[in-house]
Amino acid sequence: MTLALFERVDRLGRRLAPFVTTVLLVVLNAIPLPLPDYRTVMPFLPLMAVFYWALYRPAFMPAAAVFVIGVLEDVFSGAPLGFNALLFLVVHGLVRSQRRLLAGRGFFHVWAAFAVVMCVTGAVNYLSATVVLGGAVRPEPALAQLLLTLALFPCLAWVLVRVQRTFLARL
Amino acid sequence: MRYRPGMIVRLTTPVRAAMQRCAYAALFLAAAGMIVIGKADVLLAERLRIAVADAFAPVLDAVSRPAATVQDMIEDARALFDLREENDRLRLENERLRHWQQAARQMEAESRILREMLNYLPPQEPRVVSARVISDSSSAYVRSLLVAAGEAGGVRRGQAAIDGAGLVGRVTEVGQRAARILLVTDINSRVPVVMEQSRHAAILSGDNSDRPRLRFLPVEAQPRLGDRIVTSGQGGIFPPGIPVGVVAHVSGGEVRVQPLAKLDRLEYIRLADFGMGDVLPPLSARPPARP
Repeated sequence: MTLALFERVDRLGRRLAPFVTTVLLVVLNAIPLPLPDYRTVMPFLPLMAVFYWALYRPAFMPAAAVFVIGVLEDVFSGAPLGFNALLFLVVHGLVRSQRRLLAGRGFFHVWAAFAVVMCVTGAVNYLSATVVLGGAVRPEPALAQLLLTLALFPCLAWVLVRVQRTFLARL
Repeated sequence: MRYRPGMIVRLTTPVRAAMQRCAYAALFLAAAGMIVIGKADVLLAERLRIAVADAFAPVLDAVSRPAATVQDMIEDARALFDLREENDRLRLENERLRHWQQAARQMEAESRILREMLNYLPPQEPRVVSARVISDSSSAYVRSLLVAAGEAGGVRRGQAAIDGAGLVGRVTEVGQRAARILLVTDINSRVPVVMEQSRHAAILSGDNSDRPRLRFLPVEAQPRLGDRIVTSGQGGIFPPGIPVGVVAHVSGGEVRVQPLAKLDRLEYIRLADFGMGDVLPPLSARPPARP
């Protein structure tokens, strides 16, 4: 009886790993880091995690979780409430619908797919910013953010692979 | 009809898929609705936003501490390297400052006498709250901070945020334990300023770059590099005389100001209540939030 309960708690904890890691990345994205100019070109970490889990473990990253993560990102980033939630949901839906295309392919395919996703979201982000702010937004930081995010994707993916192997291997 | 074990699965799969699609649609609508409601009812959105930030304030506070420690260690190591140079520089500066101190003492005495002669009422000393910066939510589109002090600590909307050197920004959202600071570099930030020497008034207007622009400067004002800019107190949001920055770039009609506050490495800031919060327009009259 106790063992069964323990097992259930254990399983629940493991199932939460994708959600928890993504929330951690949202928090990490919000922390002031001592690097000069880092804040303007901060890599879009939560999007990487949403992309990764939607691709490799969609069962543990349901749309509702993506929604919550998006709202959290909105709160921390100062974006209009619902903006990132919508963005993440679109990415999540897109990746899930194209899973068959990507599953089992090499990492470079996945990376390229992420690049496409990131370019699209970056463009949406930039365009909506120019619309709301009235066309006065400089494109350089957005471009730098895009490149940095793309460059860091393999690193984060490596970490997430470890997380997946540690917590989700037996599920 | 004979029961087959695969049947239930075959029947439930399309139902499940449909339900999943429904959930997607519902969440899409919820997110879109949130954006619309956020635009229509700024007050509600802001309250919700600061409530969530409030709930996460302890977490952010805890996690940002190691980051600050690492930063301190890096700075320590760097300082150790150029200790000798720093010493020379400080000795020179000390000498210069002593001269200034002399001058300041003389002026203080002089101004005290003049004040007494004029029956001048000095402005009230501001109430100051110091707060730790727990989240830097600045991006290419927004320049703002979260600090670990809120209504419970006496923080109010409209207060001026300053660090040791100069103006940082102002408080725009206040929760119980956290408050959001809009930096002077944000694209929505407008600060009425004057040039310290010539007293020409202008508006310091952020554009999300590191150096905000000085706009509406009169033609006869001839800003030179290094001219100091301070708040003018017009508009009533900031009191007059808070140092803001120095002119760092003049070309054609464009004048840019380097803020004195170290905006990219703020650890603690002071929130000063000059009793001017009441003049801030109500939330709904402000421009909508930005992405």
